[in-house]
Amino acid sequence: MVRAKIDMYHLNLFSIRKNLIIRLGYRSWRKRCLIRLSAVISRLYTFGIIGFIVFNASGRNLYAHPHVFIVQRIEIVFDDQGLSGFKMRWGFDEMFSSMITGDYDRNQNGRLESTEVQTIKEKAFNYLSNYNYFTFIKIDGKPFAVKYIKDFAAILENNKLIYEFFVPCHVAAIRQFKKIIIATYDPSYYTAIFFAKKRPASLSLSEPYDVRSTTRQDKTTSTYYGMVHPWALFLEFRLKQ
Amino acid sequence: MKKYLSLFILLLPALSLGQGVWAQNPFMSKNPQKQIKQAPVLPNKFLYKIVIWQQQLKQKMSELIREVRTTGNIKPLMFLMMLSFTYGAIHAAGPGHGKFVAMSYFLSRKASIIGGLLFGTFIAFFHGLSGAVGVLGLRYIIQKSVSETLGTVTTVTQIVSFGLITLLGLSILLKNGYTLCFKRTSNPDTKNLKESTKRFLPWAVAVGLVPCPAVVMVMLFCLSMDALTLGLLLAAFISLGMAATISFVVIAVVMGRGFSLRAFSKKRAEIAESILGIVSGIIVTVLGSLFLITAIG
Repeated sequence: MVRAKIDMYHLNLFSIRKNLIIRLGYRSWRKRCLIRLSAVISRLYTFGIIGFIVFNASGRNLYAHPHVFIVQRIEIVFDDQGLSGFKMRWGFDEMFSSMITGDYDRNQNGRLESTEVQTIKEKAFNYLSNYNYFTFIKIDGKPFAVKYIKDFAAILENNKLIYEFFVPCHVAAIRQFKKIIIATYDPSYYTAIFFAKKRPASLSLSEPYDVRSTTRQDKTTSTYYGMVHPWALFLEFRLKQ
Repeated sequence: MKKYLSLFILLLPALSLGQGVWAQNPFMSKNPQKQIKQAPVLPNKFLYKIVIWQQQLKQKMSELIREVRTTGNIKPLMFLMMLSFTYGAIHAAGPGHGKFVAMSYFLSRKASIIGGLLFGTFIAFFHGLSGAVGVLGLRYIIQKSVSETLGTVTTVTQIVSFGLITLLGLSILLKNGYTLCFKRTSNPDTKNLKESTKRFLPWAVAVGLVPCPAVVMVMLFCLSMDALTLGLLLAAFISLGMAATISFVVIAVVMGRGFSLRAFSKKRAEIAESILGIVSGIIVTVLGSLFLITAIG
């Protein structure tokens, strides 16, 4: 039955086409088809172009502009009260690393001595205090501004520059879960920060506590004109029951 | 309806006033960039992807540059040039690079596709060239720390560039205002290649004057390995890649403008052209002044 219907349908289509060809002549029919096709292509093209202009001109889409790339690892450090803070480890891309070491590894021995580290801290790190050291913390939904850091170190590993520093953030542990979000991003988007694929976060001195942590995009935060949800570490901890 | 839609589309760039960004290196910059807070809009997955592509391309480029330099093997050179071109093309899809100013400029006048291609190429060429010249000048002539001094150089070039853009915006505004009020004839068609080049060159210089940080980093990386020629070669290919993207955007505007104005009768199209020119002039002037104020402040 169905097969018969399909055959009838094909037959109808075929007969319509055949009639057209007979009535208008094959050449004329072909010409019309070509005109129609070119009209369709031209419309699609116009919409494509207009769409592209809108896409660009509205300024909300293709504005990806990082020049520096960081792969980070976060060590979550606890003490006897609860959370003590976060030890950040930023691994820079080779090109930025060479720019910094070209200027500050004075003796060019491929190692950074303490005086050189101090210079790097002064000239290529301290300005990040203007940006909360790219570290934006929320404790139970309330923002916690990172005003200072401790124990800055700059290391060269396999031609890559590493920054290590400690972000103090004291949160006492209680019986209920405390929820902390640590989003790391450069608000000017000159720098793109990713979590390392392997071991993006680790725990230190966390035995007295129940700890849950995961890394994912922080959908509650938008940066760069609302186009980017930064990646964040979601941490929950409480006293062991 | 079609006419209003066309005009609306042509005026869309005005909606994104103030969204162009010329970010400075936050690691070296004493003055924090002023943040413009906006309500969150839909995040863009494509945006995230092109950031990841840039990271991967940059990583691969570093590895290949090191390989070429340490082994003396020139086999990866062709691949390296292709990577540099791709990196330039993807990188120029980001903010800055004069796309917005170029679009506004081409909205204000009739132009040929070759004109658009030339303009995009000139902008990318000057943007890349200023990066390469900046690095070489600082390293070999002034002999100063590039990472420290480049911030100052960028600020100075930004002030000059934005000042010129503001002046050029004013010139578009006045010219089209005069045409609308007194002349009622459309802008001359810039199909003559020599004419186009003469007209576009000051714009391209003004827009491309600010050194490209991507070129700067590649140059510095190559210089750290005493590979000046390789650095210049890669800078050229990055610039070519940027030229492809900027030209593509500009050509799209040239063609889109043509298609949209066809919806009007000849007389109305002339008036629409002048209005478009005035709006473009205002956009460029306002943008130029905003950026200038930010750069000076």
